[in-house]
Amino acid sequence: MHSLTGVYAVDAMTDIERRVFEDHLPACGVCTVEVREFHETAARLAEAVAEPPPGQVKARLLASIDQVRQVPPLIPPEPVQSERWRWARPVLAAAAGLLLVAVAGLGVFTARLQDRVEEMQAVRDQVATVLAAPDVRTVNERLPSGGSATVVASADRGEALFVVSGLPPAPDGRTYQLWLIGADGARSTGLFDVGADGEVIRALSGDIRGSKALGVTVEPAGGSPRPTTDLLVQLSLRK
Amino acid sequence: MSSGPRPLRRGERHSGGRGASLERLLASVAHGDQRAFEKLYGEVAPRVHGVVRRVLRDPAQSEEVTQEVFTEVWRTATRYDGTRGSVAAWVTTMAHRRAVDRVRAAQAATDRDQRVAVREQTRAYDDVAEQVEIRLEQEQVRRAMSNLTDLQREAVTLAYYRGYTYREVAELLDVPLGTIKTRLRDGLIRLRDSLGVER
Repeated sequence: MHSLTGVYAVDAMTDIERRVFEDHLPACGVCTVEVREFHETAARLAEAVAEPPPGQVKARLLASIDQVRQVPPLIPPEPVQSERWRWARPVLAAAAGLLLVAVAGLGVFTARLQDRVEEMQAVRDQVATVLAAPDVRTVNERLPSGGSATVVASADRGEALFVVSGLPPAPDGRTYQLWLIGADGARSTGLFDVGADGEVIRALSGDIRGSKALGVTVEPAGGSPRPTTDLLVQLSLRK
Repeated sequence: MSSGPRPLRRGERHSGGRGASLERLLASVAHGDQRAFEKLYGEVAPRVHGVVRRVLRDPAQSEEVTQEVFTEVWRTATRYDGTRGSVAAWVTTMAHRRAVDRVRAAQAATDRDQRVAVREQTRAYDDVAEQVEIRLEQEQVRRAMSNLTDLQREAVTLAYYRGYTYREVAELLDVPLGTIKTRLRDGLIRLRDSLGVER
């Protein structure tokens, strides 16, 4: 779901995908920040093709807004309940909640399946690109928990793969997060979870040029905008 | 004693304070100030209309959508939340989405015969290959675009300036869906960084 921020920010998804993603968005700090930044970026793309509308648009608009009522600002709702139906509220709320969970669950399940397939295609694609690069370079570090982490990178193509083996799954309510570390600090480049086999392969999204190293931390589920724990491992991206 | 230039506040970096003045104008608009609305229109109408025109092409429809966007800005100025982004981003996001929605609605009406649609897409590609190089007024954006890989640039251009879905982009460029997803995101990350977008 996290990889959809770009698609979402430039409105390149269907209505249904948009709704599924917007359900996910408020719960994901990393996506929210990224979408906001992408919208600011897109605003610059709009500025680059600026073209004043013909004068009649302004004339029509100014004539029309006089008849358009502005919506009142949003105010947090005060709880108002009628005595008579009060007992029904929790029941209805519970029923509605269950229904929502079921519907959302189905949507998320389908979206996840598709996400998985697409992720695997993207990884396969990127593995080929990186491995075929003339300047491909491999860095390997042992993990404190046993096992190892490897980065395979091509600076020319600005792409890299991250591979771990022998890593235990993140504790409950936590996730592993990948960071590109540069002169201006650490920037998230995605979350990952480890299955029972302790193995993960990830194609890094984001430009590795300008980054010194790739790091891994353990973060609360959903990820953090900045690292909140010490790096588990750090893999140099520089020669 | 010379104090030197004061440090820039948030939102001032690229626009020399224009960003901040858009926020002020919108606040006045939220109070029902029509003159502030006129000024705001003067400031942001060119980018709204520019992006709408790129997506829709048709001049009459573009004018309509531009007018709709500003009517919406007027109507919902009271709901703008500065913590969620700049006024420029709020307005252009709205403009892009409306233009894209208009295109998709029209497409849904004409795409009933899948085979015709496929044939048209193939034809559309020749057209795209020629026109994927959008004329960009701004040197900085042009330079940022030239820093992208070809695939990133094509993905961003087709999705943003042409209003294609990522499935359509994947189809046109003959690349797996997952790849388009990541290239779009990577492209935007690279643009964000080289344009120095506020973070």
